[in-house]
Amino acid sequence: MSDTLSKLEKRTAYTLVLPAVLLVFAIVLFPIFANVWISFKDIELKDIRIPEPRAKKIVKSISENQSELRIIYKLRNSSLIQEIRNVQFQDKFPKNISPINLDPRCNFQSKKVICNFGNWEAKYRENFEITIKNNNGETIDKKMIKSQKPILSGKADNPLLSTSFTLENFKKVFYENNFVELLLTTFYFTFFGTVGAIIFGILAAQLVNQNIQGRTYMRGILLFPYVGPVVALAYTWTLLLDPNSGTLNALLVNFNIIEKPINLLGQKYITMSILGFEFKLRLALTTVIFFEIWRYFPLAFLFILARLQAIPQSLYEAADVDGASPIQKIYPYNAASNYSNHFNFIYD
Amino acid sequence: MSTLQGLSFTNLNITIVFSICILLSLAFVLIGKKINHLIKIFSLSFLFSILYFYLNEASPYWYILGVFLITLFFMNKLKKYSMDSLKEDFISEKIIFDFITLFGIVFFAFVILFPFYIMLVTSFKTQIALLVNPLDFSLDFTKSLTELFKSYFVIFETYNFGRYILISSAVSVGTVIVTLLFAIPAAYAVARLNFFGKNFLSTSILIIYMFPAIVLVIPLYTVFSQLGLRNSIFGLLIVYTATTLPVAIYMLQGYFKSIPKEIEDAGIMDGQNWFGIILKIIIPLSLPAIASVALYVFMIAWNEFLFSLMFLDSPKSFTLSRAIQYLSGDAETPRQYLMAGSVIVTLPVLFIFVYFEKYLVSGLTSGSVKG
Repeated sequence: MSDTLSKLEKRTAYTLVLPAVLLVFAIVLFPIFANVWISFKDIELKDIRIPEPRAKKIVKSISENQSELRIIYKLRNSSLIQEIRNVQFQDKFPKNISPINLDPRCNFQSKKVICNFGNWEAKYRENFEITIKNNNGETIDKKMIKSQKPILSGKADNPLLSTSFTLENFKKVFYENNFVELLLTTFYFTFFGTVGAIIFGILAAQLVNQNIQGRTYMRGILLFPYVGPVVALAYTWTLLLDPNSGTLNALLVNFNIIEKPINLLGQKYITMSILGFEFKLRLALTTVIFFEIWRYFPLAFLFILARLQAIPQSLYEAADVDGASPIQKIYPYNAASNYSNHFNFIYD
Repeated sequence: MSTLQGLSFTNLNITIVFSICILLSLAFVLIGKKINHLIKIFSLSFLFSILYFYLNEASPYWYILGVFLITLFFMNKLKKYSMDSLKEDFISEKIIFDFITLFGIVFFAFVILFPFYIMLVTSFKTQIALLVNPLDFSLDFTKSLTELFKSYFVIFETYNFGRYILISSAVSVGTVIVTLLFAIPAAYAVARLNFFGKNFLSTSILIIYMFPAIVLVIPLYTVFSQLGLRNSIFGLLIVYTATTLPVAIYMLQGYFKSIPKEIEDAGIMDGQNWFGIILKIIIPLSLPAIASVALYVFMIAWNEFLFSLMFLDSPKSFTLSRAIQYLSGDAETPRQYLMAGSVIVTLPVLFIFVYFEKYLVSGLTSGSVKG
């Protein structure tokens, strides 16, 4: 009895889980697998499409003879690099219509023209013509002929499925495009972005964790940057940082903090001198890191705050009894809050 | 003339202002409870504003009003201090702490709200006003309403934003519904039922969330263009559902585990099958969690940008985010239109967030607090 029950349980579990798992596999895991697979292949974006034979049908009347029509098929191989083997062509015609002087590659059977074009090399093009006539000498409806689409089929190798692999792509990535610099920039961005977000998150969480008026409003406001749409916020910030008419530069110039507006997003390096040492700061990167911090510190704040509020109030009372100063009371928080910070990486 | 132009830190005498502040605070503490608190703060703030006005003659009247309000706010914060409280332990540390807290709140509130305010104000301006004075933060209410809302009229009429709002809403709401349809059964199975691969599933579920979206875009792009899903709302819906499912399942299964198993057992006794249990017991009991997941998924779908940028290229099927990017792509587009679009895409999400904030916060953090 219990055995059948557990079997039933398993079966229901699979029926409940499978739809979600399959969808995630199809949309998330398949592309990741495809990326790895393609990274070992010697192909370009244009080769990913499998080559196929194509035909464009053009119908023309011959002089004034309404019972005869000339049909031109513009045939081509869609691929510029691969051949298609064994191309088959088929087109259907209405009753009482038969072709005249049919091409030797084709034959006419039961209202259908079937052709065997053999192999098409890459970039293959041909204007293939058929002349048809109505056996009873009646007018042929041009539109009806045109609406019938020819069917083509052929075999081609799918470059994605071949078993030849190459490491060229990796070589290219490593030796060209300043790979090391890009990697370093990514590291800077991630590291300083995350550290900054955590620092500001801790500060904000400490503020909100105290007994102040309007605490819930403050918590709401602090989450705004994370909730707002990225596009809108990014454009607002580019507007704020704009060197010509941006608010931030105008403010700084107005208050005599800087003399000329700085292009915060467009200037790669800025030379600064602190304590007599001159060093170069990567200005645009720093600005973007600050935007990143501004946008993601609410998330760190949220998780740290949740941790802080999970600390039982009795701990604080005990600290008061022991005569701890306000600053001493912060330490236990931090130990507790650091745990949840790993979550932040996921969102960066 | 509400503008900051012409004001500068040079004619602001910081030492004098600072010493007046200290004197006022001292006076506040010395007066103690002899006068009503409200009368005290108003009179002292008024005194400060007058002194400030006397010292900085160039200041316009609205600026003094601002100074008055800020002083009032700070004075109010002094409420708990009196001569007696100065004798407590660690009082200097406490005062410094309070000061830092206040300062921090003002700092954070300013840094966060300022960009949003600029977005709003810019959308109500004209091109010339923007270029002439970038420091003008005011709204000109003397203009007629049609003049004031001109950018909004323009983007609705010329740039078809009404359609984009509809598309964005359809995609977001659709994503919420489909995600919940998939996630609730899966989360229930992960939380309650025993099956092979359960542990693997519940631990690996969040790893999927860590892959950057840009990795998915290129393969999906090729596949979707062959399937004809690229310029369609349906394609976006599939992608959004798949990318939000892991988090939805993770959030829901945590909540489902907290529902007492006895209630389900009672349901089984009454002859319910699994479907009935989910529909009649689990869903009604976990409505708050479902609400928070729905909210979170809605926000992700509404704000999503990368996939809509890559997949949509005909203006017929743009979402709001993509439409704003399209607006900015044309260098001729004035910035007030761009900001009006930004306001339109930001407002709904902020309203929903403010209204349902509690759910969202509890849903997001429920997983992390547990450990």
